Amino acid sequence: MFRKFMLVVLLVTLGLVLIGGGAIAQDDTVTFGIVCELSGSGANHGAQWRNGILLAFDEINNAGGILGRQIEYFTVDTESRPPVSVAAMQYAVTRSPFAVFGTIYSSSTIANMQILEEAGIIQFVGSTATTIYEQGNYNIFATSPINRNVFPWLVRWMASDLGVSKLVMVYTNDEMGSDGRDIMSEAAERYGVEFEGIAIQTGQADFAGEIARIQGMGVDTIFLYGHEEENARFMIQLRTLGIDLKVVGYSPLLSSLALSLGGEAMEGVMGAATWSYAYPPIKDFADKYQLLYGEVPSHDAMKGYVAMYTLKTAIEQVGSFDEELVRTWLHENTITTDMEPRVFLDTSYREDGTVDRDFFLVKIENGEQVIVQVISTKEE
Amino acid sequence: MFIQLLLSSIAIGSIYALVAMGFTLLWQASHTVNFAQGDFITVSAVLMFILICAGVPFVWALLATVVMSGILLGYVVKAGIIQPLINRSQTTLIVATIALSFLASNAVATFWSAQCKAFPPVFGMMPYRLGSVALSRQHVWTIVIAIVLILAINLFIQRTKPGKAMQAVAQNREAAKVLGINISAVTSMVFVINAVLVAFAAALIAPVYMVRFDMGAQLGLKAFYSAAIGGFNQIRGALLGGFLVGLIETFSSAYLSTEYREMFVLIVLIAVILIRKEGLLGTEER
Repeated sequence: MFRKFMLVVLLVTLGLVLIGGGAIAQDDTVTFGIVCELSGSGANHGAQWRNGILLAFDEINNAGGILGRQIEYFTVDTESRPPVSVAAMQYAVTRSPFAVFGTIYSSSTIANMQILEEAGIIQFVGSTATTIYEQGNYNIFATSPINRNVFPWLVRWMASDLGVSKLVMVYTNDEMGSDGRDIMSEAAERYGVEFEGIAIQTGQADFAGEIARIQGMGVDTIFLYGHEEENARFMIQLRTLGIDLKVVGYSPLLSSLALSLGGEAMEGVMGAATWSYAYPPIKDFADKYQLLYGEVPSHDAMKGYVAMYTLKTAIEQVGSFDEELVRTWLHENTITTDMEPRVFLDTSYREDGTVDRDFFLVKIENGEQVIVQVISTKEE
Repeated sequence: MFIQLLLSSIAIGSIYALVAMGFTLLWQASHTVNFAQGDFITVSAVLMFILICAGVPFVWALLATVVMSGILLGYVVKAGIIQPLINRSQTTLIVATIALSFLASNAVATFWSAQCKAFPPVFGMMPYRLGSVALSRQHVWTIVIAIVLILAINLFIQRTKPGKAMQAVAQNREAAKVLGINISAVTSMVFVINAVLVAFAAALIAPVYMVRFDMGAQLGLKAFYSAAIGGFNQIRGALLGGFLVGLIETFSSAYLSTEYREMFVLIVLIAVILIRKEGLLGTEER
């Protein structure tokens, strides 16, 4: 009898230790996944995105974590290919993260977003294609204003301030570029501006034919919407041919990466940037990032960094790691810089996961972004 | 505009021609289609970029890269990979070069960087001006250097003893062997020449393409199309193919469609193969 009693006590104790031990391990840490483009054509974006998030992780852990929990993370490379991103996301789910940061390429996000939605894991993405936010996916959160929120303002500005009556848009023939072209052409029609699109390929190096086509159109301003590398190559080729067109663009044209690749060819370029390291509150982050990684942070780094602080703020406001409550809180509240200065700008999420916040009209002078104007997405 | 377009298409075509000429030389010497040709460009560009970043002036960096490329991508590849397989089937050689291609690009991405880096503008940004026509310095110098290289290689093949040995091996390996030509040494020399061509092509293309672990993939593919269109077993065929591909790409995107610029080259490639399977200037092989 005594033996049986002792055996039961032993088993119960062992069970409690195991359960308790598990609980202690779970309560000590929280896991996040970074699933992004670390090789292939999007490697530059992915590296900056990851670095921005890692910097946030480091700062948060050093300051005591989130609700007392230290952050643990894992990283998975999508090779910049949508099918690989699906497999990467399936793997991420097996690690049971609280949230996943990624992907950046819209074509990848479209392919993998359903996996996290079904698993109920919050997903912060660097993608801007409208299609992503038309899926009714309550689980997905953008990290910057998307094309639909910015391009109409840009068209209006080009028409009124630059006197553009015919808009020629050079865009990459992929999900991002096609989405941009559709929104731009709709906006152009709305503001009475003639529109013409010229497609380029991702990874294209020679643009002589496209440039000749533009010259034949007799315009003095173009809108360039490729990825950073194509943008830089296009600009270099434009300038080495001595062509003095006004070039307007969006974040990929104005990012630190495009500026470093394009060098002096980028001088005078203007456009809308979702983040600008010239914005004073971002300066500290930019300096710290540069010290750590030896390069100026691009908008991808800022998007990743701010996404982590956005999520941290939401978790702390909710007061628990309840995915459902955090998701709802993000959709229903505005995150202010008073709550968390490192979100840099007051931000709120729409039902579809897109962002409402300010963005910047910038000009490139002496290789640096200069802020001309701060605009709110609510203006459109 | 037409002159700028023509110059641009000849410039890009001359780089395709250089790389395609390497394809042809290798085919003639060893019946190898080197699918790592594009990745050889990447490796050369990265070596040159590292030297330039270390403060070595461009010309010295180029010369050092030519030497390193000749040794590593020419002699070592031939002795270490091609020679042990040269008597096996062509499929084995092709698989080996495909494996080498993956190895080279992955090694660059892993041990150097997966990120794109700007190569310094070698010839400057300001264009040459002929009246109202602006000519890109990059284009002008690319054409000049490529033509000099093509002429030099042709002179070497036509006028020197090693060059004549190369011709003999290309025409009939067995007969060349009977004549006392060291086939292995000639093949090694061809691999070194190919590596030198590739290093120069890297120097010409890097300021335009920028340096990245996969920068050579597209270029290698275009050079392959060029060699196939012009004729894989004839140098003049490879040169013609290179310039044709450059012209088709540039003029089709200027006057037909930018979205389908690749398609026009492929249409021409298929048409040529259907009409004349050995390419425009290629000769039938037995």
